[in-house]
Amino acid sequence: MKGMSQIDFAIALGAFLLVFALAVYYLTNFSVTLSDSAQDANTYTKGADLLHVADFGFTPANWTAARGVANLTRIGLRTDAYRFSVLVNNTASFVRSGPVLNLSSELVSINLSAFGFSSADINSTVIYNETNSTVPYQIIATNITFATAITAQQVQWFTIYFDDDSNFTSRSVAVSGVDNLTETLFPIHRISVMQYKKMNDLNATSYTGLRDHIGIGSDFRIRIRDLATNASALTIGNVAPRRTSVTALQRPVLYQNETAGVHGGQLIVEVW
Amino acid sequence: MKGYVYTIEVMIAISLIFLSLVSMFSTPEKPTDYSLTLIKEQGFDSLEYLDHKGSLEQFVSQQDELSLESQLVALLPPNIEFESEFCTTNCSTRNLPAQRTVVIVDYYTAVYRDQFLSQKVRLYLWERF
Repeated sequence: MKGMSQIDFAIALGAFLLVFALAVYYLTNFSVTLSDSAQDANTYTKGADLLHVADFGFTPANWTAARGVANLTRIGLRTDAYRFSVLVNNTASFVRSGPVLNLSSELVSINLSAFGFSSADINSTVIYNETNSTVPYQIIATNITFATAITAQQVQWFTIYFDDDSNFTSRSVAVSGVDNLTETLFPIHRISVMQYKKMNDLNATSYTGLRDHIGIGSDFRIRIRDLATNASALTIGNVAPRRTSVTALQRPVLYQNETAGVHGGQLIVEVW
Repeated sequence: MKGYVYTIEVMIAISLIFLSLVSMFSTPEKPTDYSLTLIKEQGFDSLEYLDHKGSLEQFVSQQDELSLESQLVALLPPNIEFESEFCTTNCSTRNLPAQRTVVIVDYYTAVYRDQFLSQKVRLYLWERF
Protein backbone atom coordinates (compact mmCIF):
# COMPACT_ATOMS: atom_id res chain seq x y z
CA MET A 1 0.00 0.00 0.00
CA LYS A 2 1.80 3.08 -1.27
CA GLY A 3 0.38 5.73 1.06
CA MET A 4 1.02 3.66 4.22
CA SER A 5 4.74 3.07 3.58
CA GLN A 6 5.87 6.12 5.62
CA ILE A 7 3.70 5.55 8.71
CA ASP A 8 6.62 4.75 11.03
CA PHE A 9 8.46 7.79 9.82
CA ALA A 10 5.43 9.94 10.43
CA ILE A 11 5.02 8.63 13.98
CA ALA A 12 8.70 9.20 14.73
CA LEU A 13 8.53 12.68 13.26
CA GLY A 14 5.46 13.41 15.35
CA ALA A 15 7.16 12.22 18.51
CA PHE A 16 10.20 14.30 17.68
CA LEU A 17 8.13 17.43 17.12
CA LEU A 18 6.25 16.88 20.38
CA VAL A 19 9.43 16.55 22.40
CA PHE A 20 10.96 19.49 20.58
CA ALA A 21 7.96 21.63 21.49
CA LEU A 22 8.16 20.57 25.13
CA ALA A 23 11.88 21.32 25.18
CA VAL A 24 11.34 24.81 23.81
CA TYR A 25 8.54 25.43 26.31
CA TYR A 26 10.53 24.35 29.37
CA LEU A 27 13.75 25.97 28.29
CA THR A 28 11.94 29.25 27.68
CA ASN A 29 10.22 28.99 31.06
CA PHE A 30 13.55 28.26 32.71
CA SER A 31 15.28 31.19 30.98
CA VAL A 32 12.53 33.66 31.87
CA THR A 33 12.54 32.55 35.52
CA LEU A 34 16.32 32.76 35.57
CA SER A 35 16.17 36.24 34.10
CA ASP A 36 13.54 37.33 36.64
CA SER A 37 15.58 35.89 39.51
CA ALA A 38 18.68 37.67 38.29
CA GLN A 39 16.80 40.95 38.03
CA ASP A 40 15.31 40.54 41.52
CA ALA A 41 18.75 39.75 42.90
CA ASN A 42 20.10 42.83 41.16
CA THR A 43 17.52 45.23 42.58
CA TYR A 44 17.76 43.65 46.03
CA THR A 45 21.54 44.19 46.01
CA LYS A 46 21.09 47.81 44.97
CA GLY A 47 18.47 48.34 47.67
CA ALA A 48 20.70 46.77 50.31
CA ASP A 49 23.61 48.97 49.18
CA LEU A 50 21.49 52.09 49.45
CA LEU A 51 20.27 51.03 52.89
CA HIS A 52 23.90 51.21 53.98
CA VAL A 53 23.72 55.02 53.86
CA ALA A 54 22.87 54.47 57.52
CA ASP A 55 26.23 52.80 58.17
CA PHE A 56 28.65 55.24 56.56
CA GLY A 57 29.27 58.93 56.01
CA PHE A 58 30.03 60.55 52.69
CA THR A 59 33.18 59.57 50.86
CA PRO A 60 35.17 61.84 50.83
CA ALA A 61 34.29 62.67 54.42
CA ASN A 62 34.31 66.43 53.82
CA TRP A 63 31.98 66.31 50.79
CA THR A 64 29.26 68.94 50.64
CA ALA A 65 26.63 69.69 48.02
CA ALA A 66 28.60 72.79 47.00
CA ARG A 67 31.41 70.57 45.72
CA GLY A 68 29.07 68.84 43.28
CA VAL A 69 28.29 65.16 42.78
CA ALA A 70 31.33 64.71 40.55
CA ASN A 71 33.46 64.70 43.69
CA LEU A 72 31.22 62.27 45.56
CA THR A 73 32.33 58.64 45.75
CA ARG A 74 29.82 57.29 48.21
CA ILE A 75 26.54 58.43 49.73
CA GLY A 76 26.30 58.24 53.51
CA LEU A 77 24.30 60.01 56.19
CA ARG A 78 25.77 58.49 59.32
CA THR A 79 27.81 60.29 61.90
CA ASP A 80 28.98 59.46 65.39
CA ALA A 81 27.10 61.34 68.06
CA TYR A 82 27.35 60.94 71.81
CA ARG A 83 24.91 60.37 74.63
CA PHE A 84 25.37 60.44 78.36
CA SER A 85 23.21 60.65 81.45
CA VAL A 86 23.30 63.10 84.32
CA LEU A 87 21.88 62.31 87.74
CA VAL A 88 20.65 65.18 89.89
CA ASN A 89 20.02 63.78 93.35
CA ASN A 90 18.60 66.04 96.05
CA THR A 91 19.46 63.87 99.04
CA ALA A 92 21.89 64.42 101.88
CA SER A 93 24.85 62.66 100.23
CA PHE A 94 24.77 65.04 97.30
CA VAL A 95 24.07 68.37 99.02
CA ARG A 96 27.18 70.54 99.06
CA SER A 97 26.30 72.23 102.29
CA GLY A 98 23.33 72.69 104.58
CA PRO A 99 20.14 70.68 104.84
CA VAL A 100 18.18 69.04 102.05
CA LEU A 101 15.74 71.63 100.69
CA ASN A 102 13.40 72.13 97.79
CA LEU A 103 15.41 73.87 95.11
CA SER A 104 13.65 76.08 92.59
CA SER A 105 16.60 76.45 90.27
CA GLU A 106 19.46 74.05 90.76
CA LEU A 107 22.29 74.73 88.32
CA VAL A 108 23.93 71.82 86.55
CA SER A 109 27.22 72.52 84.80
CA ILE A 110 29.01 70.23 82.38
CA ASN A 111 32.36 70.73 80.70
CA LEU A 112 32.66 68.68 77.52
CA SER A 113 36.41 69.28 77.45
CA ALA A 114 36.71 67.32 80.67
CA PHE A 115 35.29 64.35 78.77
CA GLY A 116 37.93 64.76 76.11
CA PHE A 117 35.62 66.49 73.63
CA SER A 118 37.28 69.88 73.41
CA SER A 119 36.49 70.10 69.68
CA ALA A 120 32.86 68.98 69.92
CA ASP A 121 30.20 71.10 68.28
CA ILE A 122 28.91 72.50 71.54
CA ASN A 123 25.94 74.06 69.72
CA SER A 124 24.75 70.55 68.86
CA THR A 125 24.09 69.82 72.52
CA VAL A 126 20.53 68.88 73.32
CA ILE A 127 19.30 68.03 76.79
CA TYR A 128 16.24 65.90 77.50
CA ASN A 129 14.53 65.46 80.84
CA GLU A 130 12.66 62.34 81.92
CA THR A 131 9.51 63.38 80.06
CA ASN A 132 11.56 63.65 76.86
CA SER A 133 11.20 67.44 76.76
CA THR A 134 14.19 69.57 75.83
CA VAL A 135 15.78 71.69 78.51
CA PRO A 136 17.24 75.11 77.60
CA TYR A 137 20.88 75.70 78.46
CA GLN A 138 23.58 78.35 78.47
CA ILE A 139 26.95 78.01 76.82
CA ILE A 140 29.97 79.70 78.33
CA ALA A 141 33.20 78.67 76.59
CA THR A 142 33.05 74.85 76.74
CA ASN A 143 30.69 74.78 79.70
CA ILE A 144 27.05 73.92 79.33
CA THR A 145 24.78 74.98 82.17
CA PHE A 146 21.13 74.27 82.69
CA ALA A 147 18.75 74.66 85.58
CA THR A 148 16.11 72.42 87.08
CA ALA A 149 13.60 72.67 89.88
CA ILE A 150 13.99 69.72 92.22
CA THR A 151 12.22 68.98 95.49
CA ALA A 152 13.84 67.53 98.59
CA GLN A 153 14.68 63.80 98.27
CA GLN A 154 13.84 63.85 94.57
CA VAL A 155 16.04 62.24 91.92
CA GLN A 156 16.08 63.48 88.35
CA TRP A 157 17.76 62.04 85.28
CA PHE A 158 18.78 63.98 82.19
CA THR A 159 19.98 62.62 78.87
CA ILE A 160 22.41 64.76 76.88
CA TYR A 161 23.34 64.35 73.23
CA PHE A 162 26.03 66.14 71.26
CA ASP A 163 27.85 65.82 67.97
CA ASP A 164 31.49 66.47 67.16
CA ASP A 165 31.43 67.33 63.44
CA SER A 166 28.21 69.21 62.87
CA ASN A 167 27.69 72.97 62.51
CA PHE A 168 24.56 73.98 64.39
CA THR A 169 23.92 77.54 65.42
CA SER A 170 23.91 78.50 69.05
CA ARG A 171 20.72 78.13 71.07
CA SER A 172 22.29 79.39 74.26
CA VAL A 173 19.96 81.22 76.63
CA ALA A 174 20.65 82.88 79.95
CA VAL A 175 20.23 80.50 82.87
CA SER A 176 20.30 81.44 86.51
CA GLY A 177 20.21 79.56 89.76
CA VAL A 178 22.40 78.19 92.50
CA ASP A 179 24.59 75.10 92.45
CA ASN A 180 23.71 73.35 95.71
CA LEU A 181 24.12 69.74 94.63
CA THR A 182 26.88 67.52 93.30
CA GLU A 183 25.65 65.94 90.12
CA THR A 184 26.78 62.58 88.81
CA LEU A 185 27.81 62.25 85.17
CA PHE A 186 27.83 58.82 83.60
CA PRO A 187 30.08 57.48 80.84
CA ILE A 188 29.48 58.63 77.31
CA HIS A 189 27.99 56.24 74.79
CA ARG A 190 28.82 56.62 71.15
CA ILE A 191 25.74 56.28 68.97
CA SER A 192 24.93 56.37 65.29
CA VAL A 193 22.70 59.14 63.96
CA MET A 194 21.76 60.44 60.52
CA GLN A 195 23.37 63.86 60.57
CA TYR A 196 21.31 66.94 59.77
CA LYS A 197 24.16 68.51 57.79
CA LYS A 198 24.53 65.42 55.60
CA MET A 199 20.79 65.13 55.06
CA ASN A 200 20.73 68.76 53.94
CA ASP A 201 23.63 68.23 51.55
CA LEU A 202 21.92 65.23 50.00
CA ASN A 203 18.66 67.14 49.72
CA ALA A 204 20.44 69.97 47.90
CA THR A 205 21.78 67.59 45.27
CA SER A 206 20.07 66.89 41.97
CA TYR A 207 18.54 63.42 42.03
CA THR A 208 19.23 62.61 38.37
CA GLY A 209 22.79 63.88 38.67
CA LEU A 210 23.30 61.75 41.75
CA ARG A 211 21.71 58.66 40.23
CA ASP A 212 23.78 58.91 37.05
CA HIS A 213 26.99 59.67 38.92
CA ILE A 214 26.82 56.76 41.36
CA GLY A 215 26.07 54.46 38.43
CA ILE A 216 23.31 52.53 40.14
CA GLY A 217 21.54 51.93 36.83
CA SER A 218 18.12 52.06 38.45
CA ASP A 219 15.77 54.66 39.79
CA PHE A 220 15.48 54.88 43.54
CA ARG A 221 14.03 56.82 46.41
CA ILE A 222 15.49 57.30 49.89
CA ARG A 223 13.24 58.57 52.65
CA ILE A 224 13.42 59.09 56.37
CA ARG A 225 10.04 59.11 58.04
CA ASP A 226 9.67 60.20 61.66
CA LEU A 227 8.42 57.25 63.69
CA ALA A 228 6.35 59.36 66.08
CA THR A 229 4.75 61.88 63.72
CA ASN A 230 5.05 60.15 60.30
CA ALA A 231 6.44 63.44 58.97
CA SER A 232 9.06 63.25 56.27
CA ALA A 233 12.53 64.24 57.41
CA LEU A 234 14.24 63.44 54.10
CA THR A 235 13.10 62.52 50.60
CA ILE A 236 15.48 61.97 47.68
CA GLY A 237 14.29 60.55 44.38
CA ASN A 238 11.07 59.94 42.50
CA VAL A 239 7.89 58.21 43.50
CA ALA A 240 7.92 54.59 42.32
CA PRO A 241 5.68 53.92 39.30
CA ARG A 242 2.61 51.85 39.97
CA ARG A 243 3.22 49.14 37.40
CA THR A 244 6.67 47.87 38.03
CA SER A 245 8.58 45.59 40.34
CA VAL A 246 9.89 47.60 43.29
CA THR A 247 12.30 46.41 45.96
CA ALA A 248 11.63 48.23 49.22
CA LEU A 249 13.81 47.89 52.33
CA GLN A 250 13.66 49.71 55.62
CA ARG A 251 15.49 50.04 58.94
CA PRO A 252 15.00 52.20 62.03
CA VAL A 253 17.53 55.00 62.59
CA LEU A 254 18.09 57.98 64.84
CA TYR A 255 18.28 61.30 63.01
CA GLN A 256 19.02 64.92 63.87
CA ASN A 257 16.54 67.67 63.12
CA GLU A 258 17.31 71.36 62.49
CA THR A 259 17.74 72.08 66.20
CA ALA A 260 20.01 69.07 66.83
CA GLY A 261 17.15 67.17 68.43
CA VAL A 262 17.60 63.40 68.18
CA HIS A 263 14.52 61.56 66.94
CA GLY A 264 13.56 58.07 65.86
CA GLY A 265 12.96 57.56 62.16
CA GLN A 266 12.42 54.85 59.57
CA LEU A 267 14.90 54.85 56.71
CA ILE A 268 13.09 53.51 53.63
CA VAL A 269 14.83 52.69 50.37
CA GLU A 270 12.96 51.83 47.15
CA VAL A 271 14.65 50.66 43.97
CA TRP A 272 13.07 49.81 40.62
CA MET B 1 15.15 0.48 3.65
CA LYS B 2 18.58 1.15 5.17
CA GLY B 3 18.26 4.93 4.93
CA TYR B 4 14.76 4.74 6.18
CA VAL B 5 15.77 2.90 9.36
CA TYR B 6 18.72 5.24 9.75
CA THR B 7 16.37 8.21 9.69
CA ILE B 8 14.19 6.59 12.33
CA GLU B 9 17.24 6.01 14.51
CA VAL B 10 18.34 9.62 14.17
CA MET B 11 14.85 10.80 15.07
CA ILE B 12 14.86 8.58 18.14
CA ALA B 13 18.32 9.80 19.18
CA ILE B 14 17.35 13.45 18.83
CA SER B 15 14.14 12.78 20.74
CA LEU B 16 16.12 11.23 23.57
CA ILE B 17 18.40 14.27 23.70
CA PHE B 18 15.47 16.62 23.85
CA LEU B 19 13.78 14.43 26.45
CA SER B 20 16.90 14.78 28.60
CA LEU B 21 16.90 18.55 28.20
CA VAL B 22 13.24 18.71 29.12
CA SER B 23 13.74 16.67 32.26
CA MET B 24 16.73 18.80 33.28
CA PHE B 25 15.09 22.14 32.70
CA SER B 26 11.48 21.39 33.50
CA THR B 27 11.90 22.60 37.06
CA PRO B 28 12.59 26.34 36.99
CA GLU B 29 15.44 27.53 39.16
CA LYS B 30 14.20 28.46 42.61
CA PRO B 31 14.56 32.23 43.10
CA THR B 32 17.06 33.19 45.77
CA ASP B 33 15.25 33.51 49.06
CA TYR B 34 16.43 36.59 50.95
CA SER B 35 13.72 36.45 53.58
CA LEU B 36 15.76 34.85 56.39
CA THR B 37 18.68 37.20 55.83
CA LEU B 38 16.36 40.16 55.79
CA ILE B 39 14.56 39.03 58.92
CA LYS B 40 17.80 38.64 60.83
CA GLU B 41 19.09 41.99 59.65
CA GLN B 42 15.87 43.76 60.55
CA GLY B 43 15.82 42.17 63.98
CA PHE B 44 19.38 43.25 64.70
CA ASP B 45 18.84 46.76 63.30
CA SER B 46 15.78 47.23 65.50
CA LEU B 47 17.63 46.19 68.65
CA GLU B 48 20.59 48.37 67.74
CA TYR B 49 18.27 51.33 67.22
CA LEU B 50 16.69 50.82 70.65
CA ASP B 51 20.18 50.50 72.14
CA HIS B 52 21.33 53.79 70.61
CA LYS B 53 18.10 55.43 71.70
CA GLY B 54 18.82 54.30 75.26
CA SER B 55 15.60 52.31 75.60
CA LEU B 56 16.95 48.78 75.33
CA GLU B 57 19.07 48.92 78.47
CA GLN B 58 16.18 50.51 80.31
CA PHE B 59 13.90 47.62 79.39
CA VAL B 60 16.52 45.06 80.42
CA SER B 61 17.13 46.86 83.69
CA GLN B 62 13.41 46.85 84.48
CA GLN B 63 12.92 43.35 83.01
CA ASP B 64 10.14 44.89 80.94
CA GLU B 65 9.71 42.54 77.97
CA LEU B 66 6.26 43.88 77.22
CA SER B 67 7.53 47.40 76.56
CA LEU B 68 10.34 46.05 74.40
CA GLU B 69 7.88 44.03 72.34
CA SER B 70 5.52 46.96 71.91
CA GLN B 71 8.43 49.01 70.55
CA LEU B 72 9.47 46.20 68.22
CA VAL B 73 5.94 45.93 66.81
CA ALA B 74 6.33 49.49 65.54
CA LEU B 75 9.80 48.88 64.14
CA LEU B 76 9.48 45.50 62.43
CA PRO B 77 7.39 44.87 59.29
CA PRO B 78 3.96 43.35 59.87
CA ASN B 79 4.92 40.09 58.13
CA ILE B 80 7.44 39.24 60.86
CA GLU B 81 6.43 37.72 64.18
CA PHE B 82 8.80 37.58 67.12
CA GLU B 83 9.35 36.64 70.71
CA SER B 84 11.88 38.29 73.01
CA GLU B 85 13.72 37.02 76.07
CA PHE B 86 16.10 38.60 78.58
CA CYS B 87 18.50 35.86 79.51
CA THR B 88 22.12 34.88 80.01
CA THR B 89 23.02 31.33 79.07
CA ASN B 90 19.70 29.48 79.22
CA CYS B 91 17.10 31.20 77.12
CA SER B 92 13.52 30.03 77.07
CA THR B 93 12.02 28.84 73.81
CA ARG B 94 8.39 28.90 74.86
CA ASN B 95 5.80 30.44 72.51
CA LEU B 96 7.86 29.56 69.47
CA PRO B 97 6.06 28.03 66.48
CA ALA B 98 6.69 24.38 65.81
CA GLN B 99 6.58 24.34 62.03
CA ARG B 100 8.52 27.46 61.08
CA THR B 101 12.12 28.44 60.46
CA VAL B 102 13.02 30.66 63.40
CA VAL B 103 15.90 33.12 63.24
CA ILE B 104 17.71 34.08 66.46
CA VAL B 105 19.34 37.43 67.14
CA ASP B 106 21.36 37.95 70.33
CA TYR B 107 22.11 41.52 71.46
CA TYR B 108 24.32 42.07 74.48
CA THR B 109 23.74 44.91 76.91
CA ALA B 110 26.23 46.14 79.48
CA VAL B 111 25.06 49.03 81.59
CA TYR B 112 22.06 51.22 82.26
CA ARG B 113 22.88 54.46 84.10
CA ASP B 114 24.49 53.25 87.32
CA GLN B 115 23.44 49.62 86.94
CA PHE B 116 25.49 46.81 85.53
CA LEU B 117 23.40 44.55 83.35
CA SER B 118 24.54 41.01 82.91
CA GLN B 119 21.96 39.88 80.41
CA LYS B 120 21.49 39.69 76.72
CA VAL B 121 18.37 40.26 74.68
CA ARG B 122 17.47 37.26 72.57
CA LEU B 123 15.03 37.89 69.76
CA TYR B 124 13.33 35.01 67.97
CA LEU B 125 11.88 35.97 64.58
CA TRP B 126 9.91 34.13 61.94
CA GLU B 127 7.70 34.91 58.99
CA ARG B 128 4.01 35.26 59.69
CA PHE B 129 2.95 33.45 56.49
